[in-house]
Amino acid sequence: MDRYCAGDAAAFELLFERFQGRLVRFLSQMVGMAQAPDIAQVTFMKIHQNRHRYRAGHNLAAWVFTIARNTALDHLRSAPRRREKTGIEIERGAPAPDRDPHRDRRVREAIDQLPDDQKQVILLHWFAGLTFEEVAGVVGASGAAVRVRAHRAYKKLRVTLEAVQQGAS
Amino acid sequence: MSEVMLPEDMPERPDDLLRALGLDEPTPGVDVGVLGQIKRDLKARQGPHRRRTLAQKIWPVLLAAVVGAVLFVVLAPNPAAGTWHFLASGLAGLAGWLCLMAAAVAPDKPATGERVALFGLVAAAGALVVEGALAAQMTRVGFDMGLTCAVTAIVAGVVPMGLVLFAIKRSGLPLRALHAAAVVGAGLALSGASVWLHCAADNLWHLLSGHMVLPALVAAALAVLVFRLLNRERTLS
Repeated sequence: MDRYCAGDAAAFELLFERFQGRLVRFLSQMVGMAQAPDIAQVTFMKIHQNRHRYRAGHNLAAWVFTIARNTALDHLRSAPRRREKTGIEIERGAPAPDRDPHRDRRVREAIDQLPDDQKQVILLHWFAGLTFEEVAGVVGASGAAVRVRAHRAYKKLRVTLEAVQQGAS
Repeated sequence: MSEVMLPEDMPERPDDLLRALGLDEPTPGVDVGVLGQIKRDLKARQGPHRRRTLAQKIWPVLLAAVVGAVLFVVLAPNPAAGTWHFLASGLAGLAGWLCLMAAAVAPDKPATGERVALFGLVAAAGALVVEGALAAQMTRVGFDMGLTCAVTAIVAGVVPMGLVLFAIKRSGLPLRALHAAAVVGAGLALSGASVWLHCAADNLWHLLSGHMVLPALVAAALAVLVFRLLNRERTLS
């Protein structure tokens, strides 16, 4: 990040490669897979425009995903306004071309049903790719507590997603 | 407490959930157009600085250091100055030099620049504390705002501050708060150090107002101004 702030374009490319897939996955749970790449693109723009606000030594992944989350929330908040202006239904989770739209929707619904603390852990660990220790830093809990939340979420998800798995097979 | 600890061998990402969540499938990538756009912006803003030689990069900062040294000659130390005056002035001078170093390294190593700037601010705070301790020893308490000293310090600091600001601005560095503080600190700490030693006043209010409060307030206001001014344009070039 320091090299990137010093104007090293190659350093930004590394950051882009490191986070782009994780950002799309993470955002797909908030805005849908079809919108996620666009919101990830906006997130990268915001990272660039606010790179001077990143404080050296802080958790980079946490900073990046906080920007992504806020960008997604802004997008969701502005959706009704866009609908009003354009008359076009802006979806929350329109399918990406080569993915099973029903499965994606049911996965999102299953995650939405989790309690907030467990949902946060699942989104950050599975979709943002943060380690349990990094998640612990973001949510302000101990690593052990995060593991317990993850374990409980896994159990609930297994039950809820059984139907999705059956549908897929 | 009903929390049950997990067995240590619990996999962090069980395969069945990986499949069920659809995470084993490739995700669509982000349009690389944004990557190119940001790389072009970096090259346009900070590329010229990266191509400069070391001498070309730091000459404004070196010149600011020379101006800072000249100030000690122009505003010669007062013969009445005692140990406390020299201590306060020395710390302020150290703060100024640290801020200059911070400004010199920040465009290439922003985090190091921040750390050095922080040391500079600590030294500046130390200088103010010593000046405060000096003021507390003073017996003359007739009211004197010390406007002459405050104005002299600010005016004398304009040139080194301007040179450092020029160096930072042309480097294209996205300015952090501590960098802005370093720009202002480099100018005002150096000029303040020479003014303090030149004045060596023995009036409590003069020291508190003209040497400490007024310059510190102006420095804080200028740091905010510099930070806002240099971060105003955030659109991609």
